[in-house]
Amino acid sequence: MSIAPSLALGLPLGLGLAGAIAATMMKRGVAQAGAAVAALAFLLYLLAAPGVTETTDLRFGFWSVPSLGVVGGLRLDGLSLVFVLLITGIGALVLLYASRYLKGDTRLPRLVTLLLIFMVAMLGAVTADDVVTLFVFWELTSLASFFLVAYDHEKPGARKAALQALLVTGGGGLALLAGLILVAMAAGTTSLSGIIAAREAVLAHPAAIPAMLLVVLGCFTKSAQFPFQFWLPNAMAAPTPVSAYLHSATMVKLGIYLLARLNPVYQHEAFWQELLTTAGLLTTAVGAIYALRESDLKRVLAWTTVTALGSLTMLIGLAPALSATAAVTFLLVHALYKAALFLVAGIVDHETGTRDAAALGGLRRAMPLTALAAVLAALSMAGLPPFVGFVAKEIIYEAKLATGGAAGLFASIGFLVNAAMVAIAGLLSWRLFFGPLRPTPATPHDPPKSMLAGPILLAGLGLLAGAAPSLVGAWLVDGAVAAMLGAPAAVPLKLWHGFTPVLALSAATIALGLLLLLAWGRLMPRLRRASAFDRFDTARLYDRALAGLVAWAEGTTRLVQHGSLRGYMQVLLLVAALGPLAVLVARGGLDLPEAAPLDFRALAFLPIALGAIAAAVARGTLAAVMATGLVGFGTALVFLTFGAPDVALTQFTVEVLLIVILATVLIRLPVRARDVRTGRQRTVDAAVAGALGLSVALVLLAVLAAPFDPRLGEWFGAESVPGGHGRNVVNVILVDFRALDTLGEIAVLAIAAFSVIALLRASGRGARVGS
Amino acid sequence: MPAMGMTTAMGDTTEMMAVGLGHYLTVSAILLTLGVLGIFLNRKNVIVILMSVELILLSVTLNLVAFSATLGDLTGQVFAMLILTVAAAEAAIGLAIVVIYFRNRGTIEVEEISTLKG
Amino acid sequence: MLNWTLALPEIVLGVSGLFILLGGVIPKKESFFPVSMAVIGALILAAVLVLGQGEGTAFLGQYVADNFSRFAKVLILLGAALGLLLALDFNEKAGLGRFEYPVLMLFATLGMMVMVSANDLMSLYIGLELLSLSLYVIAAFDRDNPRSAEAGLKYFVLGALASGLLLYGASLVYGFAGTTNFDRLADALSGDDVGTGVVVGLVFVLAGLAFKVSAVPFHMWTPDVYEGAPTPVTAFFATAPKVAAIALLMHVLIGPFGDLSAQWMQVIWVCSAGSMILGAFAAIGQRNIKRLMAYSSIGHVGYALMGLAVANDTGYRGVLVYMAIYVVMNLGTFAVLIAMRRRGRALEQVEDLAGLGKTDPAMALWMAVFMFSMAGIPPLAGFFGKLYVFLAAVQGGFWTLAVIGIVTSVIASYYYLRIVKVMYFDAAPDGALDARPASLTVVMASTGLLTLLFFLFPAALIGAAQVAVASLAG
Repeated sequence: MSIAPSLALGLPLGLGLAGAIAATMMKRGVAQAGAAVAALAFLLYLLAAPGVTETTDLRFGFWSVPSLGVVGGLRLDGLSLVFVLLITGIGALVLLYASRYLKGDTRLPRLVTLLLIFMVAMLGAVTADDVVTLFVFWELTSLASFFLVAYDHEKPGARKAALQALLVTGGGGLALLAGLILVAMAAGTTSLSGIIAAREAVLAHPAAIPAMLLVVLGCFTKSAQFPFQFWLPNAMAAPTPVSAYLHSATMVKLGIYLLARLNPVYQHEAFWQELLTTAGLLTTAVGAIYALRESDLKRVLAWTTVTALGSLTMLIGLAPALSATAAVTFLLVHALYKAALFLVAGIVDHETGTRDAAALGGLRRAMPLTALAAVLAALSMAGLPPFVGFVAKEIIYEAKLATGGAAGLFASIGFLVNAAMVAIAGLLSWRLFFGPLRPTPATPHDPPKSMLAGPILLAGLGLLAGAAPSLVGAWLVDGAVAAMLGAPAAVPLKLWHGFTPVLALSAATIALGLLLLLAWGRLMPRLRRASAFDRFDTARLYDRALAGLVAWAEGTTRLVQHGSLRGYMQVLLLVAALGPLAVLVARGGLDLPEAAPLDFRALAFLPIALGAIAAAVARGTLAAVMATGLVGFGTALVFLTFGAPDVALTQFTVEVLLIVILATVLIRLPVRARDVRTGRQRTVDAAVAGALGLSVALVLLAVLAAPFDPRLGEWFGAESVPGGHGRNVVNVILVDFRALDTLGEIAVLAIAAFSVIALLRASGRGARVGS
Repeated sequence: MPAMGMTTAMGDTTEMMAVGLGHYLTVSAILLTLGVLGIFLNRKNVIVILMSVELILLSVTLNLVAFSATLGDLTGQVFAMLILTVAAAEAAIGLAIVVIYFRNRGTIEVEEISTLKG
Repeated sequence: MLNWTLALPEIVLGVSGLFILLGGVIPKKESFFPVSMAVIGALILAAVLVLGQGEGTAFLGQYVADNFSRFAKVLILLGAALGLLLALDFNEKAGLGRFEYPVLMLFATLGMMVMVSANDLMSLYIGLELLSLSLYVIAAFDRDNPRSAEAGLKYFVLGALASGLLLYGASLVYGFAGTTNFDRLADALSGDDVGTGVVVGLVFVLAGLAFKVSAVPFHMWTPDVYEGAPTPVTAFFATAPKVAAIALLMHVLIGPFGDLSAQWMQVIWVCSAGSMILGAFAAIGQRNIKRLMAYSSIGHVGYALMGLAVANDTGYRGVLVYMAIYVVMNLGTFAVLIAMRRRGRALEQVEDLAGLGKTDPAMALWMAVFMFSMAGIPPLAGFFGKLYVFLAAVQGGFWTLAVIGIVTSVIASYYYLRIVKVMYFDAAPDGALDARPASLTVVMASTGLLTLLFFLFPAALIGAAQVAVASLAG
């Protein structure tokens, strides 16, 4: 049975969105309805799955901006298929689980809405075929995560964790946007498949390396790679179903998804390989060490997730086809067992009232079904046969050993990390459920079916997939691997590889892991107290950077925006002085003009000069007003000598008016004659004034040195003065040709007149000071 | 009268350039600079600033009229007229704002106009 | 060649302004509300006329009407009309219900329309002054409030200085290029060797215009004035005049100084980078939400200028798209800020929004939409605004600028999201806000829906911007 691509790709998104909206209005059964929506989406993708093979995919283009060369669409290929099945499948189980886990919580509809929005965002992100759609959904997942982590927002810790996660992943998202834009520019298309096809062009672009770094940065923040790993454990403030869904199975894999998606472009670049393997290796180590330092079940699981994400990054960075197969297999396996373990941890927390691993034990009798799920999942996590986890681990070892020079390093770090994972798996199964029963705040018992369905189903799937790995390989892994490598490259999945060095390594890992498990009770507190690890805790760096940023920003702002009008004027005029100077410098110095003889009209400058100097140095304000008036009159005289009597007359009138008004105001407002500035302020003031003076003088010299193009004057003279017609040409122009400006001028005067009245007319409340 | 002035200005264009324009621009530049100096050197209250702005505008009109004559194009004069009128309106509004500021704060000292900040 | 019918929107607006003024003066009792309604009517009428306006130049080339001016004018009129709507209730309650307010807004709008259509330095100056004088007065409109008076005085002093510098530049340009007309200036400045006088004049003109758009380093007045002025005035300052000033800047730089782009691109580059950086960092420590919005607006101007710095059609289109989205987001945000009132007292602190998610979920939702949009989070409108300018910058090879833009938007998202956090996660200390008037709800919901659903129909706006740019650069 086949299904139209538009339906297969579009319908799940629409369903999820409709479900999210419906959930806000429902009172009962909201989580069950949400689970049904997710399950329906899962079925739709299953129906579409036959159309997706190593060489075929489904496409659904739905928007385009041709002018920008931007096309948008959805595409389902092998890699996407793995993700959409995980997202919808685990989503359905988690929602079902939440219906019981949060029973009676009035905020449940909100949670379901957010989870469904998140699901839609994830589905959109992993099926997006263009960078813009991808980015939009990518950031939407960060946003949904923000609200989900802050679900218990009365707790300050939850608020802080939510903001931290959003700042780190949202910020990384913007870096990703920058990188994707660069990549899309280089490829000449925004389509992801187009970018992969245009591999050569992307790599040849001058900004190829920065672009790649930005994309990788975005992926690393999202997938909690070192040094951004710290937000993930803190995000455990979210309710357990959320942690299981977002922070182990899906959202944190989005970065991995994109790295895998772009792998065909970069896979042969040494830098890409080194970057991913190094970061991945460091992340696995950090995750393993911190996992052993925690006793809170959820935080332990979060750190093991960090380790798993590190492994995935590393596997993508390791070039051969084998490692791609390993990555996809491990991705699937991890999603299955980790989601199951999270849900188990939630059940334990829910039923016993604590999730401190050190305080729990012997729960097997009280909750046998939960124990079953935990053991199945833990075995898969530890990588024991016959679970699919074993298959994955084998392949990982094989891939590591096949890397050549650095194989020893990779294998030995991988060995230690895997041993730690075995220990944690033992902790979560053996220690919690076997041995002596320890007292807990609540009497433990198995939860109802809806809560058990998820963990048992997920852990059971691990068993099934492990038993028939070749089936999984043909059906899911091969298609994804083909997408990761850009070409089909099937590496068969086998449960039994024969007696190889890899098998020996697996056995040794398990042995060391069991030793660690036995020592856990003593090892954990010691590791926790060891402060050496805290020094490398990037969370502190984040805290310090955030606090420092805020403090620095506040300090600088106070410095720049000091509020003093005086200072603002200084800046304004200083920039105005420096601008022209910069022009002069840019144009290469200046020539001095020839000295020009003065003519008789220079006499008119005399009152101007006198008045201006007097205005600048006058002590009293009234005297300064008078001096300014003198300048105005002098200017009017100059206008007269230029044959501009209209302007001169206006100038006279305005000047008289202004002096009268100023004098009137000055009489009403007592002004202080004393100068309150400090010596330093005066110096700064003088410097600013001097700078502008110097600037203007230099500009003037430069301007006058260049010959004034007389042709302009002649041309306009010939055009604009036809003999000596209109005697008062200025006025003719004003009223006729400049009609619009004159209308504006009238409006200006109207504004002035009535706003002076508006401001000054007695207000009833006012007149606090003076009269 | 205007026409006569214009023709003198137009009469010997190139010579006028050499002799006149430079001086006018110089005076106008000096006015501009003095306006700024007035703001900073003798600036105890806002009214002095208003007058300094006035000086700057005067230097602009002077520029415009000088260019107008040199170019033999009346636009400059018209522009100057416009600026004068608008400048008067601006000064009136400015003074009104100064007055209401004074009513509120009892001072118009420049140094004290600094309560809004950060 | 007067073609005065082309300027019909301005003429009708100006004349109705004078009549409304008369109508406001004559009655004995205060006529704030009817006058406001009349002004909104006049603005709508002008908008209709603008939409039906022909294309061409009028008044001997001093006035130009084309798709660019139409785009900007519709935005300006929208901003002004909604801005006045925001003031109706606030002003009554704050004792600012005087008829001069709407009339001043009308004249300011007239000034903006003249600015946008000005094709001559003189008309440009008149438009600018019409706007500036009105803004000086309405910044100080709460004349019994020391903060409003200080805002008005600061804005006036600095604005007058900036106008002076702009004029000085204009006089140099006139003198050394021989004309004030934009088209003829473009001809005169098309050669290879442009005189120092003109370039210096351009620098001064740029400084004056940068002040009006409040770009760094001429931004200093913005936070103080935004904080001190009555909130509806701040809302107005942050919207329509910004569009007008940006449109004017574009028109001047692309038109008469188009051939000097190599020179002004660098200046705009610096202004853009500076504004983005300042807008991001300075807002972080703000407690007063109006002050925060001031820094936010400085940052947004920086993003818009990024498109201008690129100096090609893609960039210009980005600027127009950005400004349109910016106006809508800002009007909505300010509608929320104006609704912040508890027991009759207007509130201005970020903390005053605490618990809004519970006490007024609808308003909190709209505010969240605006904040997310301003932070540039998809699929809200603000994201597309940023996307188009970033795309243009990257296409034009302005890597550094694009990277600065992206980094600063990350930092800026911090304070936008802080507001969301306060609304939803902090407990309300003081109970619910007062019931808000319907006018604010209308503005909030309409702008909110536009912001929220923009991604469904981006083509309309982008197409309009494209056409506008074509007429500007062509």
